[in-house]
Formats: sequence, structure tokens, C-alpha cells
Amino acid sequence: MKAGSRSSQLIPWLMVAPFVVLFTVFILYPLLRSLALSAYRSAGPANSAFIGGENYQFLLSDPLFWTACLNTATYAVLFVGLQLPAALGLAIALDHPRLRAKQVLRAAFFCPHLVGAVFLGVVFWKLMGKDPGSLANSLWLPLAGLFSAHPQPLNWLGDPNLALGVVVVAALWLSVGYSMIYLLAALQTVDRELYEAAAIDGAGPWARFRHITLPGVAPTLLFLLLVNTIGALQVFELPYVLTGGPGPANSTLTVVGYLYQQGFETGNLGYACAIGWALTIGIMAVSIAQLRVTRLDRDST
Amino acid sequence: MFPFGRALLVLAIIAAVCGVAVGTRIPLPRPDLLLWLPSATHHKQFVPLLADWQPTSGESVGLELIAGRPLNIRLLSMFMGDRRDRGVPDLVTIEIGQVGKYFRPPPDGIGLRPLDPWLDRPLPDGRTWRQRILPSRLAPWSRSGVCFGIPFDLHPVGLAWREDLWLQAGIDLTAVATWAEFHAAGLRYQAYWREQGEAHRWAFEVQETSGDFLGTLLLQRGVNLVDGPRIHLSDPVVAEALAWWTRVVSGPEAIGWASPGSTALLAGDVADGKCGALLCPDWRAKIFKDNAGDRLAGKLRVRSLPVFAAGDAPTSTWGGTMIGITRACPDPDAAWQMIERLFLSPESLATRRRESAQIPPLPEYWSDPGLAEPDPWFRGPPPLRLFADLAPLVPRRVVTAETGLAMAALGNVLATAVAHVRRSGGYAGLEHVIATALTREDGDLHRRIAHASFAVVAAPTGPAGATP
Repeated sequence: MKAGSRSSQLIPWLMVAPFVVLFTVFILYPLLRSLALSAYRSAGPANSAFIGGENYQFLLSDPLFWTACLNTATYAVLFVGLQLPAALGLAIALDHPRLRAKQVLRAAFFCPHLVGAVFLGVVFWKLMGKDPGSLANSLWLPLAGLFSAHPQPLNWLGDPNLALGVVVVAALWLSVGYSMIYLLAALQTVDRELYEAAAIDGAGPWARFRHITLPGVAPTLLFLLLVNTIGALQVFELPYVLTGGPGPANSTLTVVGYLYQQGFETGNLGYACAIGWALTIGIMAVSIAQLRVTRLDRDST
Repeated sequence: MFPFGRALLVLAIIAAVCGVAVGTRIPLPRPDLLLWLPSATHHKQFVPLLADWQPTSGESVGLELIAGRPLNIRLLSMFMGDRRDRGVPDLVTIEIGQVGKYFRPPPDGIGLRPLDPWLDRPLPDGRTWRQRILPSRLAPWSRSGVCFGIPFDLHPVGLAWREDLWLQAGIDLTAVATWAEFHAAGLRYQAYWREQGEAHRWAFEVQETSGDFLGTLLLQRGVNLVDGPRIHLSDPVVAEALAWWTRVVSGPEAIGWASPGSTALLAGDVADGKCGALLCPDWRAKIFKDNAGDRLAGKLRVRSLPVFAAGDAPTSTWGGTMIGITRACPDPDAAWQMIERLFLSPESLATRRRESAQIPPLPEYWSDPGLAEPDPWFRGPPPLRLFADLAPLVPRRVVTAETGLAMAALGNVLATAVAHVRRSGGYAGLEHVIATALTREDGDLHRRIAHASFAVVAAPTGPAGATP
């Protein structure tokens, strides 16, 4: 009896043991190790010098880091700010009872997400070429011709003023369908009778959207806001594929891109770790702020 | 039967099968000497050379062809981890654009072995390899006077152009002496073709946001952006060249066709007449011939580079590969013999000329009569002979851990200057924009190096010519 109860006490521990071991070895230890490494000037264990907080001190005065932060923040604001309304708009359109071929449209909008960032980056790289015959310039040149006698093709990915915008557009194409699926599912949980009752009470489309749809999908929107913001702050692949990393005049250098550059291109491991920790703290701060603001908003309503 | 349900049973079985499969896998036997290399062209050349060499040397040899980026990340990780096990290759070839990162630690902390003992060992004819290899070509692979790599190539650079199209426009590029004259000729070339209705026929291949081409041309002036402890980013020579290049690339005087990045793609652009001239190291000439074939046969000609001013080198160097021995290699003498076989033996030089038409960094081969064999695919004198004639004039190239940062900074300033021209529609204020940006980047680079480098950096920057 006693032996049996002891073994039943052990079973939960055995069940969680694989996770604990894997978490410790592959997450906790690397995290702590990277924290320690961020206090070193390092080119490997044989060539390391303890420099305390110097990496963080340098980080605060590093113009490239702040450029990367600004680019990342701009990207995140544009991406999240455009993606959620676009995804919600598409979801509402696809949720319309009279719309036909819903399945086909849903699959079409979701498709870009399946191909992944690298493939999409390669496709966009061709579409947005500087060549006058590229798709983007084929659209741009006739438009520019309305205002100029000698319209010039644009170097979409080579112009510091345009490159980040192209990255945002590519990211939207990739991810709008993904968020749309979540919002579509959320919309289908909203009670249809509420709309009918509101219509009888004389509520217009905007009032129905404001007072029924939006509160109905608010938890999903909050989830997407958080997840997409975190994803946007960690953006790496698209700028890397589209502009080769930092892009023209560092216009598409992101924080993770800078971390990669320092860690893998320059071999400056200590500084790369410091950048990683700064990013972690930044993401945590933004996430907590978002949660607080949305909670306040929810409490006030 | 199984207390935790059928799903977990299936998962447990899959895990067990995978575990057994992985655990009982028989590893392939490791060869005595393992070489990592990123170039398929080199791999193709090395295989037959080693097939002959293995039986006589008694060494088993393995070649692992790994794409450049993963190779460098894996190798850098191994070096930073100070690994000495048999997972580390014995030899590795590294491209010139990547080698700087390996030179960040102090010389005794670099993961490659110093090759000076073998370079200075007398050969049967009484000379040493150091005496036989072009000294300036050992410079990119050396750190603090210690040599870590043997050069595969020299890569002198010429100017290649569609002579048929330029002559149709009434321009003979063989008569052009300076880059300023070339720029003016390019404008005339484009004006002619615009009149013929060819609006997208451009004179010269350029890069708008990367400093690579400009860095290559700066070598003509003797400028290495990072030269030992000195940084030359704010040198007036750099500012002048940048201002000229910005005009070539953008604005009303632009003659530039933006490089597609790949020489194979560029060959198509040149064959289509979109791009009229380009910088052409020896390796590019061969790629053009292989990729454009009949479309360009008898149309392309190669000459020495125009110069910025008297005294400049009429050539430069673009690209390059070295081979080095890792510190993990237990038998460096055998590894050195393999280097001699692959990089320095008469058989390897013959293979190199046949397969990739490249000039070796060994001056004694530059007078080989075979280099003067006519090549009807090109117009004018055979390019190999031209490159061999340019070889003694190839400027010294230095690569340090900081060179990549400096080149990125040069590219940033170029992008800023081009954006300024695009925004303002002309060149007003261009020199000021460039000077300001160069000063800013120079300061940033100094600070960055002081923070990250294990080396000592000279604080003040001086003119390039003052560098010993």
C-alpha cells in the first residue's frame, strides 16, 4: 500500500521530468550563460575579457543599435497597425452570410502564410526589382508619368526611404490571412441574434460594429495584438532575405538583425548577448504595457 | 496493457525506434585529412588532383563542400569554442570577404595555424615558398606579420565592355585613360543609344548601396579602408572617389546599370545590351564565357582599368580564396603537403587555368606561353595574357577584423549620398553630405573597434599614402 502510494507520488514528477530536463538544458542554461557572456568582450572562451556592464553601456550610446530600435519600432507600428484592421476587415467580409465561395477565398488569403517568409522574400525580391520591367515599376512608371515627363523606375529595395516599406508590405501579405482566420473564428462565436436585435432597435452598421462585433472579438484581437507585436519586434527573416540584412544605409536593420550581425558576422558574442537581453527587456516592457492598457480599457468599458 | 493510453504508447514506440536508429547509426570513417570548402568550382578541380595524390601520400582525404554562410558560422563557432576534436576539419578554404572575422582574437587565439614555418622552409631549388608567392598576396591572410593562409588566386581586375555596341556609338574605349574620361564616354554612349530609342541601355555596371565596387577602385589609389591600425574612411581620397562614384550611379550624369548581384545574371544583361561595361576580374571573364556562350561570342573585350590620377595602379583585385590549417589538425605536415598539391603544384596550376582561367599568385607562371594562346570568344588580345601582364601591378590588399565594418560604413555613406541626389534631383551639396557622413562613420568605426577589438587602434586617421 505504502509502496503503491510512493510510486503514485513519483509519477507526476516522472511526467514533468522530460520537460524540466529539456527546459533546463536548452533554455534555462543558455539564458543564464548568455547573461554571463554579456559581461565579457569575447571571441570564445580562450579569448574573453570580463568588462562588466561595458557592453550595455556601449549599447546605450551605439547609434546603430538605436537605428535598429527605430527601424524595428517603425516596422512593428506599421505592421501591427495595418495588419489587424486589414485582417478584421477581411474576416468581416468573409463572414458575410451572402458571400459565395467562402472556402476558396479563405484558402486564398491564408495561402501566403503557408509558403513562409524566405520564399515570400524571394518572390518579393523579384517583384520589387529596380528593373523597369519589374511588377512594381510597371505599376509605378505609368503613375509617375502623370506627373513627370521622364519618369524613372524606383529602386524599391535599394532606396533607404522605400526599403522598410517594402518589407512591411511583404510581411502584411504573409500574415494578414493568418490573423484573419483567428478573427473569423471569433466572429462566428458572436451571437447573431444580437445583430438582429440591434437592427430592430435602429442601430446602423457602424454602431453594430462598435458595440457588438468589436467587443465580441476583443479577446482575440488582444491575443493577436500581443503575438504580432512580439513577432514584429523579433523580425529578422524578411529584411534579411529582401535586403541582405541591414539594407541600404541600414534602413532595414532590425534589432535581431543587428544581434545576428554582431554574433555571427563579427563574432562579437558578448555584445550580441547584450543586444539579446536588451531586446528581451524591451519586448517584456511593451507586452506588459499593452496588457495594462487593454485591461484598463476593458475595465473602463 | 499500457497504463497511460494508446496515444502515449504510439509516441513511446516512435521515440524508441528513433532512439535505436540514431544510437546504432554507424558513423562514416573520418579521413586522415578533412577539407571544408565553399566553392563548387574548387571542389571540381580538387577531386582529380587528390585522386592522384592519395595513393602516393598514404593519406586518406575527404572534401566537404559546404555553402559559404553555414561553413563560416560553423567554423567560427568551432574556433570560438576552441574545439580540438576530430569534428573540426584539418584544412579549410575561406573567402576574402569572410576571413576578417577569424582575425579578431590575438594571433595566438586564432583558430588557424601560423603557416610561416612551412613558408620559410627551403625547397629543393633553394628558394622558399615565401619567395615564390607574390608578397602582396600573402597580406590579406596575415595578421600582425603572421601568415595564416596560402592564396589560391590573385584576381587582377580589368574593364570588360561590349566593344561592338560602343563602336556603333562611335566610341573607342581603348583610348580612354582616366575614370573621368570613361564617365564622359559613358554619357555619350547612353545619349547615342537614347537617340536610337534604346532608353534602358546603360554604360556601366554599378552598385548603389554597397561599397564593394568602390572599395575595389580605391585599391587602385593604394587605399585599404582599414590598413593595419589605421582607418582611412575620412581620407580626402575616399571622399573624392565617393563623390565621383555617386555621380556615376545616380542623378543626371548617371551611367550605371544596377548590378543584379550574380555574374551569371549579369552575363544575360550584357548579352541583352542593357549593360555596356563592367569591372572584370579573371574569374568573371570565364563565367561570362560559360554563361553567355554564343550570345556574346566575339563581342566582349577586356583592357586594363582606367585610373583616377597618374600613379594609380591600372588594375585592382576583387575576390580571393585562401587555404589554412586548423589548430585542431594533428598532422600539419601532411596537411601542408596537401596544400602544396592543391594550391601550388604544377598540376594544380594547369587544372586551374583550364577549369577557371585564373592567374595564380606565383610570378614564375605569369610568363607561361600558354597564357598568350588566342581566345576567339573575346575581341582583342587574350584576357589571360592581359591579366598576367596586370598581375605584377595588383595593389596590396589588407583584410582585418574591422574591414567588413569599414566596407559597410562605405556602403552606408554611398546610399546616403545617392538618396541625397535622388531627393534633390542634382549634385548640389553632395560633397558636404559625403564629408559629413564619412566623418560620422569614421568616428563610429573608431569607437566600435575600441570597444570590441582585442587589437590596438591608432586614434588619428591620416592620408592613405602616409601608411608604411
